[in-house]
Amino acid sequence: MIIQRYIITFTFIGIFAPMITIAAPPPGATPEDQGQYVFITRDKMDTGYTDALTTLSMTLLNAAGQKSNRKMLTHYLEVQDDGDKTLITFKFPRDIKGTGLLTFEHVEKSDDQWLYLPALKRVKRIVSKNKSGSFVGSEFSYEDIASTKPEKYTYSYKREDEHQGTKVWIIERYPKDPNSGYTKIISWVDQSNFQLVKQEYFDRKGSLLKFSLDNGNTLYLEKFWRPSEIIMENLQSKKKTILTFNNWAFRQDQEPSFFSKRSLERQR
Amino acid sequence: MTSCSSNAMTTLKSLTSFISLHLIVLLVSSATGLAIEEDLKVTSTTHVSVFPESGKGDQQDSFITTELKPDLALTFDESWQAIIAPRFRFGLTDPEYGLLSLDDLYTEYVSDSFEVRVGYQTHFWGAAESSNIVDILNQKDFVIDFFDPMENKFGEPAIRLRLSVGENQFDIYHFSYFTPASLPNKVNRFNFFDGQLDFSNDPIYTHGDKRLRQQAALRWDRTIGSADIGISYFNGYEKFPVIHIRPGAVEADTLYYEMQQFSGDIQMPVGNWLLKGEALFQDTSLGGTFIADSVTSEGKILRRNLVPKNHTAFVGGFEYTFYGVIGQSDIGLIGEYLYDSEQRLDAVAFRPFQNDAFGGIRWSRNNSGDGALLIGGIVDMRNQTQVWRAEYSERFFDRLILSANYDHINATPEDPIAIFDNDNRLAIELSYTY
Repeated sequence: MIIQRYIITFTFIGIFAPMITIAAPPPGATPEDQGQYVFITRDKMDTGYTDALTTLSMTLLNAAGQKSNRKMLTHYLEVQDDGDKTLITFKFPRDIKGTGLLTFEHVEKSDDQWLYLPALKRVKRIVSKNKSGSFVGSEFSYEDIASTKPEKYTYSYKREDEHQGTKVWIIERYPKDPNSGYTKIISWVDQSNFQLVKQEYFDRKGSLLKFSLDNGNTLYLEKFWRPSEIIMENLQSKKKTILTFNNWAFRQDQEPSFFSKRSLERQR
Repeated sequence: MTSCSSNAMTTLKSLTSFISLHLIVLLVSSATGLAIEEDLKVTSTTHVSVFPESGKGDQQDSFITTELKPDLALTFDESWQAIIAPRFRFGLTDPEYGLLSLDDLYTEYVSDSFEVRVGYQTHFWGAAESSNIVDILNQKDFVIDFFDPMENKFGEPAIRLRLSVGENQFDIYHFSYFTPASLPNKVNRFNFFDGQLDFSNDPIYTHGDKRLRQQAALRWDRTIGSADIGISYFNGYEKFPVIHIRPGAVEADTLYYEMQQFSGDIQMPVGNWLLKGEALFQDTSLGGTFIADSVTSEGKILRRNLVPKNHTAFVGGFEYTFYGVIGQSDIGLIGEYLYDSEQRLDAVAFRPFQNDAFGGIRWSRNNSGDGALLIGGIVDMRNQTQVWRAEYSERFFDRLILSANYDHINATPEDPIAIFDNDNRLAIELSYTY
């Protein structure tokens, strides 16, 4: 374990050493390389988190400003050489309390996804190609809440800019997955910490669908950045969702067997 | 009538004891300082059923029930927990609808490689949407919703050992006491005898130990590639009895026969398709034969073996979903085929879906209230007998769920479902979760 920590620390320095000395635009011969560099660095910076958990709260606002709430406990497990595993347990609304969603993300093949329905004690397989579908009625889709692997996009670095006094890179990403709900995502990336501050999402028809703002990016265990809030606003439906992350905890020595169908049945 | 009101009394008494138990737990944990983590969810549901066509015999044209379902989880430490989840139902229009079910009342030890669960418990086996033929572990209440009793299962007293060996999961079950089905009596709709007869409270069993005949089950579960596969074995009584009338009897009899069931189920995503299937083979020879005189629906007396023959059955098909069809809405299409090797319409066992097709459409609105509409129908491929259901539900104010469904039955006279031909129903349910 201690040895692992050292390795992590060295990798950490290895990544950050060139980053600190970076002159304004990200390195790379082509805009594609430059964009990819930023997102690969983001991914590398997050390696070694092992496992994490947080309580997510969602406030759904419709065009008339009417509110509706969601609350869920989310556990993450880092998987070497593949996508991560996620177990989401719903806490609110109370009628869906205990409903669980287990996802095994994969880099090469389709993700595996199971839904547990406590009223029926039933584990249902779900088609994970549902990337673009709304996540629990919110303005977030399944692909927005998944931890996106850099291999799933092609990139194009556009320019430097400033966003609320922060120096940012503007990078366009194009999903490779034909089931994605987007043709393009424009990301505003903070140059100092590689964190997202704003994103614009373009639908299958190529028109601007929604934008998100990441607020309160916070550093945990001196290594892992997480936003404390993401606001997603749909420009077509005028609906908005505020996603809040509470009490992030990392490296809780969560057993890999926790991310299983049998564990899904035990969540409350 | 006395038995009915005593039924309501039992329900009330159990409710009181549940509340006292809850208080005891609070006292014990505060007195001993033992950190018992409590997690309580309570759902209360009021159900109204209205039958547009008037009933036959003593059948009522409507009923109202209210149900209270506390679900208390007590966590003692990482490995030990207890679940207390009874269900109390009161008949507001008729105490006949009162019921107590111990859906879950168990303690469980969980380790990384095995789990032991002891007490009343509810389980689910299966994969299909129109019918779950392999789901044999729990008895059901058929009074509230005859064709869809999956949310009205009774917890069964059992011990379950669950073993994880690599990617494989093995479940071993032992059931110590059999629960007979709750079936519609003469005041209820879906009564088999035109509202003329109640069921006897003394069922017949092919085994001398009656309800104490020990039952067991095994299951192996595994995900192979993208397919979730389960292979199961059950040895005990078939849950749905053979129904018969002895000549001159004033009540209908139920016969619970022994059988062993070998079954398999699979759910597998293939691209945007989700394929599902369940198949079983039932060997009914365990308890031998049961020869008796019984009165047929035409009033003839027939001497025959009331234990059904061995049979195989299958249900399976696909689900395909279109995402973001109208705004955020998803539309899912479901198609399934139901088969039973028992093809006779006058067979002793009531198995109405012998060669039927199911088609359904599901509209999920993905709005803040999770509004969803489901319309589906099962059609007999030989005689076009149909059972249709349209169902809508939506959440309001974060805590209230309103749901409405309409069932329509259109049966040809020779089909076993023809006895329910005038039982079309509109049901409205309002539930609140604390």
